[in-house]
Amino acid sequence: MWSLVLILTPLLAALIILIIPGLRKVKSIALTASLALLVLTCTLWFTGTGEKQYSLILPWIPSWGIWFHVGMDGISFLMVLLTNLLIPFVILSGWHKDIKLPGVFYSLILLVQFALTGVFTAKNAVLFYFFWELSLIPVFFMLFLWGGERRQSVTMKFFIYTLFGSLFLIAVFIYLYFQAPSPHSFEYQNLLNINLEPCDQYWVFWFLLLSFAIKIPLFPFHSWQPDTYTVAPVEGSMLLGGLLMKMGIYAMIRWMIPVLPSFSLQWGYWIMIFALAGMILFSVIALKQNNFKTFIAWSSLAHGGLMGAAIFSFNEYALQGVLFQSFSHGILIVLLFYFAQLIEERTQTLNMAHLGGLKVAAPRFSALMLVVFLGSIGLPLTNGFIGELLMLLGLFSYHLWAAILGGLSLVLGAVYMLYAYQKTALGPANELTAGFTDLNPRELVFILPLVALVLLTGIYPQPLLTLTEGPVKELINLAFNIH
Amino acid sequence: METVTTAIRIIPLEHYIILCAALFSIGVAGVLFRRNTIIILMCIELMLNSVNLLLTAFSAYHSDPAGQVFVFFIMVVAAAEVAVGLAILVMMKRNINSVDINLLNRLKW
Amino acid sequence: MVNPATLAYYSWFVPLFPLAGFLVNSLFSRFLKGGRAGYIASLSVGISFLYSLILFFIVRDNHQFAYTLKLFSFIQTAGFSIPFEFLIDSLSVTMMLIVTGVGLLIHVYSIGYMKEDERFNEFFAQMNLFTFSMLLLVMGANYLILFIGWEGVGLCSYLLIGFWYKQADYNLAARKAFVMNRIGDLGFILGIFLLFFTFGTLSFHEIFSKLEGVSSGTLTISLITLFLLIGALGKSAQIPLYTWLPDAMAGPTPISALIHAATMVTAGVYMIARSSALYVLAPFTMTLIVIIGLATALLAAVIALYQNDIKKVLAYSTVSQLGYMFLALGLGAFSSAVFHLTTHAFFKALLFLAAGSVIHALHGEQDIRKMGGLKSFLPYTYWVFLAGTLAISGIPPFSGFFSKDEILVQAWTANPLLYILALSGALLTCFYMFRLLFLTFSGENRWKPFTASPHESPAVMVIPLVLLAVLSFAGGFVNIPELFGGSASFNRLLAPALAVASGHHSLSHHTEWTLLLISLLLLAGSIALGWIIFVKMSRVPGPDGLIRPWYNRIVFKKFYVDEAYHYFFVRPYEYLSSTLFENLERNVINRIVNFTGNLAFEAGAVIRRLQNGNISFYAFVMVAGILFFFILNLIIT
Repeated sequence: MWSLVLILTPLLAALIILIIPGLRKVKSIALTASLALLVLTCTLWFTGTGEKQYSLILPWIPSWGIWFHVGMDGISFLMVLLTNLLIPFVILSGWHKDIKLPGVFYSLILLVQFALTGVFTAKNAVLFYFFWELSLIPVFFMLFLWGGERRQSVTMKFFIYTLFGSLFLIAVFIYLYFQAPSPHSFEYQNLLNINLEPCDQYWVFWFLLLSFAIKIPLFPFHSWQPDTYTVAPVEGSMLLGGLLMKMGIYAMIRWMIPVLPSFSLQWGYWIMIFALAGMILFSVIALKQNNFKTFIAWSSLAHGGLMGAAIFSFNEYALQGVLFQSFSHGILIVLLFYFAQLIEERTQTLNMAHLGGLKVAAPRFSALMLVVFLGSIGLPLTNGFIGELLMLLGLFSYHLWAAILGGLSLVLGAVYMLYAYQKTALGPANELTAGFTDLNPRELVFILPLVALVLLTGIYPQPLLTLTEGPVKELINLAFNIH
Repeated sequence: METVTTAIRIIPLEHYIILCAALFSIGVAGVLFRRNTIIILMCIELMLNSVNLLLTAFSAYHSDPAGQVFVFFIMVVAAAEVAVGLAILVMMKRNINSVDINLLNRLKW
Repeated sequence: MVNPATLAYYSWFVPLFPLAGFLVNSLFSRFLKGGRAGYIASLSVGISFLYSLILFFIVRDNHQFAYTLKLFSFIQTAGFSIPFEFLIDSLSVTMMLIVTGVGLLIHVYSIGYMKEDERFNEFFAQMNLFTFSMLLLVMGANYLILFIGWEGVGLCSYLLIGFWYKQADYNLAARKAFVMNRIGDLGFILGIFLLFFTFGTLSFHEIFSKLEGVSSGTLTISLITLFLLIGALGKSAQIPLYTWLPDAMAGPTPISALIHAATMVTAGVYMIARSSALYVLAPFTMTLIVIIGLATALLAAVIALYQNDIKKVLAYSTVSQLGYMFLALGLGAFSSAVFHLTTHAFFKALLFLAAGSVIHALHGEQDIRKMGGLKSFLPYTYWVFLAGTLAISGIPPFSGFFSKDEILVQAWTANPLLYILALSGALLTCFYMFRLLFLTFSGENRWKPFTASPHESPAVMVIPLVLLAVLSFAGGFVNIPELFGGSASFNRLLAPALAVASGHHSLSHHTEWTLLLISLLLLAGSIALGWIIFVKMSRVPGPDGLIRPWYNRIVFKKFYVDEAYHYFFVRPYEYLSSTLFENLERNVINRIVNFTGNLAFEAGAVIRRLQNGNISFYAFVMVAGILFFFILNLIIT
């Protein structure tokens, strides 16, 4: 029942904003709705509401095996928590801006929240697909109408590329529907019970992989990402990097590994190679990027590569690490893009080569930015470390070389992140940065809670780990039992 | 009718078929490859008439009057169609001052 | 009296106060005018020092004392269970004393040294943060807490090397230090993983107890020790990861003293000493450590001969002395290594701070070719510098003599060749240190005259110097070997925490005395040689642009190692970055993707040509279609 509340509330808020004409204070309504959801999610967490109360089954098209079945276990709850945590901040990030058609814009953000919550709680394949596709539409409009230069071509490329992947997704689902012992159904439990032979139905796995690999994205399906992150409005980038990317990761963990475990075990090796190669490639490329937003995009790609690789090492540590890292990375990406926005507003440029010496004029800004950068490279006592540690532990248990390659992220990440920090904040101030005003209270309200979370979850990560521990264990058992 | 039937049996049916096929092909070729609209209309008439001829020949061969009745239908349709076609031709002449059919090429992307 | 366990229970006070100092100094910075931040920082370290002293008294009375204090469960998932816990035993208490004790003296010194710096408060905040991380490192009861402290000090090193961030090359040095450390950390973390998967735990006690009865030389243990060694090489600036340390001299001199002499760089030595139980089971790694340590000691000593920056000489000297510590570790003399670590902390911090005093007096001059004759102007500095130089050269009865001699003795018992090499290194050390001393303080005044002549540093700087000089003199007395009738208390103190290497012979007193006399004679000769060259003949090193013979030039250019790293690693990496972006990303992958997209457009353009508006063509196509279907029909039926 609660899942339904979590899903429908953003939709309701979005519709209210969209439909009622002449509504003022749309921003406040959106913010209130999302904050309320955050409070609700936290309350549900702390009161330890059981899985049963999250589950809800309603018939939709029963003759075709399509039910409106939503439910949350630990993994889904973590993702929903992340969503509901980040959306208020996404809304808050543009609070001071004067954008055109604010009602439409904020309702689009809420629609994305609606779609995301649906994706994370869906337990029926068609319902999952429905929300998966649905999330694209508000993002498309956000990018197309409020983006930067070249937004039309970049948005179309992003949209069609991702849609192309989803084509394979629905094809696989339909195929699996017919594979399930009759009565055919799209239900998650049914799909879990299918036993496919790796030999003759291998294309099922690759199609499914393709659609998820485009979403995250993994090498070599990443071409849409850097331009899209750069061209998108800041809220769009935050949503894309913070949440939509996690959709792909969640989908791999929830829908790919348990449904096709033998395939995943057999070919996981190849995927890991590609993902790790991609991670190294992206880290190397990130070094020379001058546009701050593009730089963040490439670093996000590198993180995604490591997460993708870790998923296929098939042990509890790695999956726990991936889930924890998804959570931390979401928070860090939102912070990074917020800093990008701050820089752009104050200096009218995102070119890091022209910046430098921000620390002279704005020491608090630089200090907080450094904390976020360090979280990104996995410094202990920040949340990035826990996720990276567990993922590398998992990769190590798979194979030493996987851990060595994955561990390169430690070194390469330090190289490009510190270089970026040096380019922007250190060195002497020039005429562009000399007048950089330090953070004002409104911006601190945004930054401080998130940075506090970064440090807090880095020092005391146990609650989040306990949240996902049970479901992860079940998932691994499921995969290995069938295998 | 029997006199017609016996008379017509002197010439084998294939001759009529070939003649009409030839006439029809000439008509088709004319419609496809001629530029002057009047010629195209005449070729359309040619096609219709070749069909008429063939129908009559068959009707005579099998002593079945239905074929010849059908010819009348075709002639009526041909007449109506010519009337409309000539009207289009006149409109064409008035608008582009020519009867070259290749000049009407706006029905494209 | 008071229950030792209770006292150890509250040992989390020790890292707490520096952490609190950091928070106070950074968050309430604007309320702290004058030198208050410095006092707060020093006070917090001082309290930590006092508490460490209390813990020391407990450990002194009971060498076996080992108390594990669990704070909370840090990570617990799927069998990977890491509590956030501290271990209080003789080794950790010794390190705590060094960190807080020497740290306290350096904090006090910095109050004077950094007085005019505009970012005074931030400096002390970061120093406290460093102290906190270093304490985490030495107090951690499992490898992960150690690692957290390990990376924490790496971060503080980065922050503090680049403290004067307006200079681009300082920032580069800071980045270089951090990245090189990170390379080592990669090895370290792989070692941690292997440890976990072999022993199922990362706690020191549990791992070391599981080592009972494990045979020596197994592959797993060797791999573990090798990986951990890589981490130590990065942190303690040994070959091949040492080039960051001389560059780190870009930071303020107190930082060079604290981080890059006394504490952070010794973390590698501490870690290996702590893991001694593992290392004694890995003879291959131990041999490797000996080779690397000795090679580093000699290489750095040779390079130091030609350096003309007062801090660079001391930096290479640190690398060299760390090499000696590694040599000791590799020979199985773990407590000797820690002993040398301790004495080195005293005299190296002293030397750096004294150098800072000189630099301060000469308003920022660091080139020793532009110094000279400062003895009369900076008497206190001169005498303490002399004390430090005597200590580092290993002249009795200074502390350095005892610690270095122990290592040399161990070297002889292992292999006389090692002794000879180590002794050569000691002679070089003596020579270049006295060269430094003479060029700086003796001879003529080669410095630019100022309006006021250089004056001695204020008391707040001199008092720590004097205290460190006392320690450099007397510090060795805690570990007087039996040769002189002592009881080697320090070694005995640490013995319960360290493993005993097999094959340990002791020397006859006769041999020891002989070796001692030989080395002392050679050292005296070295000092004399230095005196002759630099005082009697007043030779001053030539300017940088001087044409030197090739063998001189190679050493002067530090064997071109920095250049080699730049050429083989940095330049290719940057080139790769731009190339991969341009060629692979833009030209290949993007082209493929855009090509697929364009394919749709192109296909449409081709098909579009069917709609050309030509009526004859349309009619033709219609007829052709009909014919096609007729023929198809004929073929099929």
